[in-house]
Amino acid sequence: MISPTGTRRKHLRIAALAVALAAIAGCTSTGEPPDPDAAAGQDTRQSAVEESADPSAAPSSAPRKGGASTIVKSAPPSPTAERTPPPKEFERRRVRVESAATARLVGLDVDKAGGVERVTFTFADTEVLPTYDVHFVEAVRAHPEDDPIAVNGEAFLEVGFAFTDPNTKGRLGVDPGMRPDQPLVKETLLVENLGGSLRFAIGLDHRARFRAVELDEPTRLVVEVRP
Amino acid sequence: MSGVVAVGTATAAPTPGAVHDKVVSADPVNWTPHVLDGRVKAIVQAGDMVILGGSFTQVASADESETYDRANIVAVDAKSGEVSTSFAPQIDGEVTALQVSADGKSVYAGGFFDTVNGAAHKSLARIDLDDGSVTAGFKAPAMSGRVKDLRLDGDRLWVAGTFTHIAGKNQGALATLDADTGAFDAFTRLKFAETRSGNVQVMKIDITPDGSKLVAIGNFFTVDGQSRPQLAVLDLTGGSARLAPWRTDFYQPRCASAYDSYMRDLDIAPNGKFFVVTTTGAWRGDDGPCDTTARFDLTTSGDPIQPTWVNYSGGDTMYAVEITGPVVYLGGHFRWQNNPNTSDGDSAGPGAVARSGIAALDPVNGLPLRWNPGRTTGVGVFDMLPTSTGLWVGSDTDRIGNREYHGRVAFFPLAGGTAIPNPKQWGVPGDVYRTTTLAGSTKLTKQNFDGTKFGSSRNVDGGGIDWSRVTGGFVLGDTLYLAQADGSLTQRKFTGSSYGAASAIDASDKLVEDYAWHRDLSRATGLFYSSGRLYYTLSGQSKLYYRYFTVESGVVGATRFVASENVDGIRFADVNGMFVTTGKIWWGSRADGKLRQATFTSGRIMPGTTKVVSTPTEGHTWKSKATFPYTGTGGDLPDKPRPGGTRRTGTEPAKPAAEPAGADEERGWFDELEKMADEMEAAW
Repeated sequence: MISPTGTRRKHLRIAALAVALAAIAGCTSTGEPPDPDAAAGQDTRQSAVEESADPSAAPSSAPRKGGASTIVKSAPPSPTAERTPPPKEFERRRVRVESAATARLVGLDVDKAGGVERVTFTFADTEVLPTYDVHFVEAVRAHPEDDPIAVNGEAFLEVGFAFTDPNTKGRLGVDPGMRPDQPLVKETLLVENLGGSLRFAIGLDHRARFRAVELDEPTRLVVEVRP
Repeated sequence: MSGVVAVGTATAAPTPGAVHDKVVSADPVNWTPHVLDGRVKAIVQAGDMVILGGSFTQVASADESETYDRANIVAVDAKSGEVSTSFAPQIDGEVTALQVSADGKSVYAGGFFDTVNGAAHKSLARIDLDDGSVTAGFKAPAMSGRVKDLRLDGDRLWVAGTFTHIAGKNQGALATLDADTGAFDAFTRLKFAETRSGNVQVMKIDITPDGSKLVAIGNFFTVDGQSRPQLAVLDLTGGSARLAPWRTDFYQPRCASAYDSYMRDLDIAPNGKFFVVTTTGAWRGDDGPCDTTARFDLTTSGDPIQPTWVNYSGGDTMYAVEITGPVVYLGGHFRWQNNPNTSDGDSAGPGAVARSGIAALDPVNGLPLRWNPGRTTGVGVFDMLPTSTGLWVGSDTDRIGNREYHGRVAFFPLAGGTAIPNPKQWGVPGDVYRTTTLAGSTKLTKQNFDGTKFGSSRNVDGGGIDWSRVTGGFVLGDTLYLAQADGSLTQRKFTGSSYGAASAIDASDKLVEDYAWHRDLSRATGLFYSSGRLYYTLSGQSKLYYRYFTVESGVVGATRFVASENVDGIRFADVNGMFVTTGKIWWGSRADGKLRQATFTSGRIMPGTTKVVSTPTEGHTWKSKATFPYTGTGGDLPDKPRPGGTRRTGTEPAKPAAEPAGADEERGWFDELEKMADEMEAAW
């Protein structure tokens, strides 16, 4: 684990994470059409951005002993934090749930059962899911100003996580690109992995309805898509 | 596509990557550091320092004992991989492009950033390599968009990107600056315009080593009002940049609608004679520009210029491309190469070769070489840098080289690499081998040709091969290649009097058998190799066909091309045995048994150049199953087959099977295959 090395660096880390969080949350700069259903989420995002803030902060250039295991560092999840559960209905609207949890992504699986196809994200080191955001995008991009990334399919869901380490023992703990041979889910691709901010693209055969399901033991987020 | 500059060495011309004489090792070294998140987008070398740019926050030492906070740029020792502790500039966004200054003491960084070391430097900055400070004296001009690529040409810095204005000038997408001061340079005022969507952008540029030409790719369709769909060649030899009389319409078609441009990368060869372009775009068939790698000739001019070759991944994206001379390295999101015959853009088709995210191609024909380290594909490889000792690779994943852990950067050394064979192609004067069928028995014979006339025909040891089943053959170096009626192509060592064990040429059949190719082989009436191509004629067909072929890997191209229709003096349906020598094509005629020749250059037969070279004598006609020149030593191979030629391979018949019954069975099998193929094609 990386140990904190001073307030300035911590502030920059928080700032970077906040920017990453904002990137997960706010996709209006990517050219995505405005999502009228996301208004509540935007309010929350705004408060998240306001938390950060020391633009002059700078990390040290010196190395730290102890190896590379995680890039994520934040306050532990608040036991009193109130989380709004995701809707149970299958819809095409953005689903975003805020959390103060940090987590480590240890599994990514795609399967189908009961008339739905499922993309399951499994987490360790937490009993609470980190902030996540699931929504359709017109084009998948690693950076809002960059060129589109090819993802198999005709419609693209993005699933973003904040404060999440994708590494296990320093290595990516999940396959960054999978191409399941399924009718609806054509590809999963890790398109952003920066400073604890993760974004996966899920390529779908068409713009299907979806829902996010939270499961415990282990902590999982299941994105279910229904033809 | 990056440069190598020695520290302290002033350069007047662009600095291409190092030239290699072989393929690098497929085993990456273990001393490179690990970039722990994000992606590596740009790699350059300045002296003993390699600088990586991208979007990342941390880097770990090779042994993972130490970690370093690094904000989108890091410098490492080129020989040890040790992370520099003196160079750690704070850049607040992705570094997309890097270029080493002429004195090798600083780098130009371009990308999606707004500040460097806390001060405003939008999209472009020059940074000292000794301490990471912003270089005094260089002031990047204000620009309305982002920088996506950089090239240094003498005292001129080329800047490509998404900007519409720079330094207050209406100069979009591509501009030149004074490399020392950053002041606007009016050398180029060319106007890139007309996009399918969004602002015009130039995504990648490269300059020939002599500084005479610049190639640009982007989402533009015109330059200075002239049609240049997504690719333009500029002439830099005058007082200002001009549009070169070089145009291709290969990138005119649309690919998937999500892309304002599907162009991804380009690299000019170290000799400046050609360049290679990669694309994304999603599968749109086997004749378009989507998801391709294509080579173009820079020594020519005209309109429209067609690619020298096109290699299809079959629906997956290619990103970084780097030419080292004998190799075109390719990185991306792909699973296959040589895959134009996929049925759906998400599968391997007949002839496809598995290559996961990284590949080496033969620059002659675009076919994959054997090099196959593999990597977890992720989004892709975004830059590669050939140096005098190997090849750096930057990506967004951490497994490469037989799934070794190398966090987003790896170095493949030249040491332990493999040379690419360039076998001798035999010609005349010399011996010419052919098969002769007398009294139902087909034997191999040879005749010496002194340049004007043939000597007497002599039987030679046939090595136990059933020559009646051969449909074509040729010799490269000391290897005899034979096509047979069962549709196989084999290779074996050959000295003229002894034969090694046969092995199948089947690298293109490992995933999905290329039935069309093997159907062709079963019906071939002539076959020869020339310049990365297998030329052949087919029974009853009035065409000379070819497929690409790379000796090093044994990969056969999945696409069949027509080299020539019948021309004055040659009817391809009459060909019965065929070979090529420098500037000449030679063939035997099934109609009259004569040997003829014609002028053959650049894969084309010159009409009206045909002449008869030899006529049948003593029953020895030039109607032959295989006709090829070879003037070897005649020595024995260590593994010379036992008398009687009892050695067989799986591709040879179990017993001599010249009888019509066996042939009928084979024809029946291929007819069935052909019928299936026709049904599949109809279904597709």
